[in-house]
Amino acid sequence: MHVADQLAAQAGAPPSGRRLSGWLRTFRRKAALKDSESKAWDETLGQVIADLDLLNHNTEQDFLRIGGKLSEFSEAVGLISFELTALADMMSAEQGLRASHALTGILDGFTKIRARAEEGNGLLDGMLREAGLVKRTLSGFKGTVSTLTTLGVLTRIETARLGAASADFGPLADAVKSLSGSVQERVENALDTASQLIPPIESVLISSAALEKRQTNDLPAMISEVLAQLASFADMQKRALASSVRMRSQYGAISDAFKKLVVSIQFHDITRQQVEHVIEILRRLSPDSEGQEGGISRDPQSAAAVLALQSSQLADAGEKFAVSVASIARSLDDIAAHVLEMTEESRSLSGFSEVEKNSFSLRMEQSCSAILAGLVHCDNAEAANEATHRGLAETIGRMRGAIEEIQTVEIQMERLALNANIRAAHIGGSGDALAVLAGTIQQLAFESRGRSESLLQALGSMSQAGTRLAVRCASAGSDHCEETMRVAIAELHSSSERSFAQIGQITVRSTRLREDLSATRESFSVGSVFAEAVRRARGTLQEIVEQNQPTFSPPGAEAMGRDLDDFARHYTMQAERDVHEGVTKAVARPASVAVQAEQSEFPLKAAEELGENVEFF
Amino acid sequence: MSAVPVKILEWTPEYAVQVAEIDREHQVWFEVVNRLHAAMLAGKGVEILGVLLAETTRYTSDHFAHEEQLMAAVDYPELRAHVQQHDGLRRQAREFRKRFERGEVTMTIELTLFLSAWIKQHTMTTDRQLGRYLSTCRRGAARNGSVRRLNPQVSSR
Repeated sequence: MHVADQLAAQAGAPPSGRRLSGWLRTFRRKAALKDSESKAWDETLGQVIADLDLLNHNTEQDFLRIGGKLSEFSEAVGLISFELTALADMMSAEQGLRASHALTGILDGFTKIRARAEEGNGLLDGMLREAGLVKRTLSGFKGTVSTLTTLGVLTRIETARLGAASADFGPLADAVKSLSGSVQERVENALDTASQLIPPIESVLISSAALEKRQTNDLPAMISEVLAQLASFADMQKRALASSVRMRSQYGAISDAFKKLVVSIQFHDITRQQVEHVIEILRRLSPDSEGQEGGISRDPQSAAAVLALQSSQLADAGEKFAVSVASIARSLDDIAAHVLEMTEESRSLSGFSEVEKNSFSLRMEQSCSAILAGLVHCDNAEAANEATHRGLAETIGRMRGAIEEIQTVEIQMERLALNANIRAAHIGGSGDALAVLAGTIQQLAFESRGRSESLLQALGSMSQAGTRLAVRCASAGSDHCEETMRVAIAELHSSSERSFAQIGQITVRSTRLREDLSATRESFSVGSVFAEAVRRARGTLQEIVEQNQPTFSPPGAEAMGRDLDDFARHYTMQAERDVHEGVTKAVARPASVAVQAEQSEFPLKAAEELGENVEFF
Repeated sequence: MSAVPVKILEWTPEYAVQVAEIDREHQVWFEVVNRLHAAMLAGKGVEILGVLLAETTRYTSDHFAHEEQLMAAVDYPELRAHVQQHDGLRRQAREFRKRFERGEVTMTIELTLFLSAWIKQHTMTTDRQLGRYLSTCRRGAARNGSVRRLNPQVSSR
């Protein structure tokens, strides 16, 4: 038999079910407290009430603070999730398409530029070869001048030797001399022009060719870089899609943690009500409440039993509170951990490692800069080509003029040689030497004409190459290739900087949220405070129980303790209210599991039989 | 829901060097980075890059001149090393401007990373050390009863 039943039996009360109330009712009739004991009681209980009141107030403040923070946390997580999703979408969809399009456009542009550069290189190489030929050919004229001068001297000697027989040859020597001087002057003039003009042309051609060659050499590297970026982008798009799935899962986990947090905070409401109820019962034990409605009898033994019950309730509240606090702390840690994962996800999504300089966005920006620098080289090469063409056209014109002048001398040489031959034939045998001289002049004229023609041909080739270069430059400008590439780079860079800024934003938000969560977690020391306060209050109540039940050691006391614990474990205010109503009105059935389970054992009694102190329930 | 720009580099008391005028000037720097970030978030960093580079160069010059005057006025023992750091940033700022003027407009990410790192590092270490020294000098002057003004015009350099 339960101790309450035993006690109730002693007092003529019914067995358990309503046994707690019966048990208390029986012992309320025991001796009243002495005045001095009563005063000590009141003070001690007053302190316990004040402590529990303060505890409830403080814990409520802590929970309200967390509750208030919840909406902030939730909003921050929502923003982070929104931005992460936007980032992943941007990378995998809009930005991905744009960037791929831009990179493909840049690749096409580079391919065109490369083809143009290779063609330009070929033309410039040809022009350099022709310029070398012009130079060598002009050098050949030096020999012609020297030979012609010698021929002039020999003609004079020969005409002198012939004496009167050469009377008709007088003008021939003068003509050869004059022609020699004329050729010398014009060739020197042409050589002088060449010496002044060819080196600058060569220089322009060399620098232009170097630029073109540099462009040709750089372009493959740039094209490789763009191809690599395209591959990276494709890879990043795949990662962005996978990342979106993971982020959704992380967001789901955070939402779950929030739900748990809310449940834990709500759970606190139960413990708060338990403590409030204990406070209420303790207040009803005060002398002011005695005799009032709801006042509890202050007879030591029944009061001790009431206090023991409250102590058990506090113990139960303490356990529930500890579980609730641990769950809140766990939920906060979970949220912080998931926020960290989300941040890392965004960083790895864009290729951020520990070193930000390795980020995908920054590498993309560096590629954009390299491509822009490449385009500047292209511009420079095109400008140099244009300058080369303009300078070349002018030089070729001047060279043509000089060569045409030499050609007029060649004609004179041929005529002179022809005249000399005719006169030598008139003289007969003594004119043989003169005929040899005339033949040599003719040969010289022939060679000179060959050189002039070669020169004109070389200049013609150079001129044609120059025209093709000019056409190429004009077509480069008209297809707007570089301009299109610059627009594509601007778009690509704009996307990269948006991603970069978005990730920075997410990182800052996450860092702040984690710090906030951590601060909240650190300041949430209410668990230990509550446990300590409950331990202290229970100790005090226990002391009062022991002091006021010196002789209270009924058989089955241990079982009674278990009953109280059991009641407290399944305690609800409704259960207590049911007990109260059951006792006072003798109609209600208690809802508490423990009490309800044994309801059938309770024969209902009339309210008047339950004593005046049952109201406290 | 929309992505409202956050301050990517928020001035908090941990960046304070405890000298009000320097702290105020540092906050301008933080704002430059935040403005650049906000523009980048909209994909329009390049549009304000020229203005920001000009401002950064001018502001860097003014702020550094001010700090250097303060240091000289109190015979700050670390003046030389501090000025070397300033010169480093002046050089970098000029270099960024030159690149921009050459047509290299794609440098917003690099500029943000560079400025953020430099400002954090310089403010948290070198300037804080200067701030401590200046505060000590001012407290000493106040204790001595002589209102020793830290006249920036008086240079001992």
